[in-house]
Amino acid sequence: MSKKEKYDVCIVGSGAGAGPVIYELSKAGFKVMVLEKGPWYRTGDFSKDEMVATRRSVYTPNLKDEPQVIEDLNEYNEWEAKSTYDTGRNFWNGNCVGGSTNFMSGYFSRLKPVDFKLLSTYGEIPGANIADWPISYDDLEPYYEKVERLVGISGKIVPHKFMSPRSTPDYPYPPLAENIVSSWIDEAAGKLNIQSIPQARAILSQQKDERKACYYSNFCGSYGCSSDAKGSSRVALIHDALKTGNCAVMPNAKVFYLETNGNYRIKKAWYYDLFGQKKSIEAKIFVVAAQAVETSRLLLMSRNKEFPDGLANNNGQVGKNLIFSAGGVGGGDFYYDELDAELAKELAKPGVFVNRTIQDFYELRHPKTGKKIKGGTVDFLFEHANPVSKAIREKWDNAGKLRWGTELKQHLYRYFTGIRKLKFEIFVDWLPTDNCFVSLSSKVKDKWGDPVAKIRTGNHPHDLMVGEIIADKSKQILSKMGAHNIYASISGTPPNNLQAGGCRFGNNPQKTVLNKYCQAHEVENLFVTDASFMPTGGSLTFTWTIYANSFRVADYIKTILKNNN
Amino acid sequence: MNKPEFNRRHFIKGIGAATILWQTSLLFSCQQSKSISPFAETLSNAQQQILHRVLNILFPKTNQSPDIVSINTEYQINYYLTDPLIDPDEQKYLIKGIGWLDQTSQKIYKKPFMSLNNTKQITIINKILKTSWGESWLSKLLTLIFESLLLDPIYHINTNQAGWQWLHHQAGQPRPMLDIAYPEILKRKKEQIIITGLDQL
Repeated sequence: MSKKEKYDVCIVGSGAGAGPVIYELSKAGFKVMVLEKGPWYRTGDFSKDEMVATRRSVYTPNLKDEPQVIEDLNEYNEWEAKSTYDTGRNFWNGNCVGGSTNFMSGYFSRLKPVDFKLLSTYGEIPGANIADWPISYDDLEPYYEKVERLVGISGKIVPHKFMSPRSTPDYPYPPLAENIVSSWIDEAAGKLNIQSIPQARAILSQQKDERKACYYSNFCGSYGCSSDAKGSSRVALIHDALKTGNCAVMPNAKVFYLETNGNYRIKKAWYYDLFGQKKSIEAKIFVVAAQAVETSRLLLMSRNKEFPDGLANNNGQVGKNLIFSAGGVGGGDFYYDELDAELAKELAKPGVFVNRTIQDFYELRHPKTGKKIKGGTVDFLFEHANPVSKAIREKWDNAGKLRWGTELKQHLYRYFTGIRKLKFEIFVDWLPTDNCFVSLSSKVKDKWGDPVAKIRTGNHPHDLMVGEIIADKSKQILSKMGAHNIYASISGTPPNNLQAGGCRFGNNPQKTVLNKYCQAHEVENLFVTDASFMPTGGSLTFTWTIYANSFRVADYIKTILKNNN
Repeated sequence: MNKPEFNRRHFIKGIGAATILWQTSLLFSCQQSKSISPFAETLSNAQQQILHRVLNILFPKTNQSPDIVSINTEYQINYYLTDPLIDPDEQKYLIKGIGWLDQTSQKIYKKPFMSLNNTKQITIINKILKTSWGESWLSKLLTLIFESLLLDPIYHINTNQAGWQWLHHQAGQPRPMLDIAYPEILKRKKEQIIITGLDQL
């Protein structure tokens, strides 16, 4: 296929939201062009090199070339906008073919039926723009199952109070190997009448076609996978799409404008090539999956007479109600010298996983009113093995004083050789509010001269309250396990890697950008298939849901294309 | 514990010309001394000597652990100072901090930092730690020490895996080869291609 050929579908982005559409449409015989702003890193390009993975801007853009602007509340309770080039706060992640799925840890959980009807189940919360989804869990269940098979999910089903209904009895791949600490979590939680269950992972425990099983490298999250066990969109879906002969992928192609034809349909996607030249691709249907912030930015940048405020934004909804998957973190330390030598050796074993989650807190009672409220989940994991990052975190003592000299050396030695840190991550609903949205910066531009995304990151106090309840319960588990230095930090600071919202789907075109098939209300041939569609995000990491929904939308696009043909 | 980042770029832009002139003249006057480290293109001899001393204070030599010479920290710092993809303001900040440290020494003891005894040098370190720029500058140096201690030896640091061995760190596999290490890996960002089949990969 050449660039001049007209494609059935042009897809912007290649991560979790794009992969299933690329896979399904290519397999169905449609001509697909994928425009990806980042490069194509092959599996052989990945190594366990911390320099590349975290110390330099290799998988993300240089902030001088492509800053973003983040608006936080300052000490005077005013919104203050700062360029990420000035602050060094990097909000990018995984700019390459396959997107951030290349670098995910692959903690995969299904949403629960209640997540699709948060408003009707728990009612309104003042200051929050909660909305029910226009689809139900049952609509998505077959696609969750499809992801298990095609992307590859390893785990073991253990029935529990808030288990999502399933159409199959168990995961297609058995659980990954576990560290001894997993059994300690189970035991401690059990004593507190809390059920600890195995965490499913989008990592193959057994070979699947050309993809080899996990070899327990000890460097998973933030790193590309060298055995292709990790279920990235690149190896799990795009490789198979390329085998059809119907798919073309253009890396290093940054889409900056979607041109309409004067009749509310997109005609072309304009992109910058490697040399900054403006080029375009024509297609019948356009799918945008550039991750929530950049998807909203692209639509807002695509202004014309038909859409003076940005594509599909005549009701002013694009960029609104941005949400994240977040809550807080905590952890505790285990000292090897307090353990029997054999146990210490088992605890120190690298590579094997913790893979424990607690979903007992998915529904809670409000501490003051006693009313039922939506809760959240806790995932347990070891501190990442990245040595430079570990050392950097230990630069400061608990009083915020810089360690140096002999004290620093002694501390580093004890920390690296005598302690294993068990962490937990809490996920609660990031309630959508009027203070969390994407707009275009009027001051800061990227290297191409285009306005960058301005991200206001306000959170709702309800989220913090729920997080604190779960943190207390999580700390009790660590205490029961005998951990030292137990801490928790509940924060309204959003993570950069789990973004959603900005182009809500729903049945009311006045209040949403997309219909229930993630098709723009105002632009018939525009679909958005990353997490932008989500009105609420559940209390979990939602990558599995992005994959599943993208498969669902792909089925709908197939129907449209078949009918058109 | 993490601390919010001090805005080095704004600080660099905000400093007065007088400070820069002072620093330039002071360092020029020390150009005659012999070079002791690999900064031929980036630092004057005087700057090298001060930096070398500060690094030794931050990460002192002991019998049981690597020191900044054995892990080649100065190579890593020079690499940082010459890496075109590092923000030039960050690079300038690292160099200017050397002058500001010496200026602090002049203010307090009326002597250059290198003329002070060990106790007084440590007093200066503690003094600048109480300033935003000083804390941030020393923190940056520590980060570069950690990189030279714990990154892969392919980068000519962490010599003979001295840092990994000291801290019992087990490297992940595969380790980087030259063609996929930094900055070679960045070649992928320069590929103008359309991929239509797996055989192209």
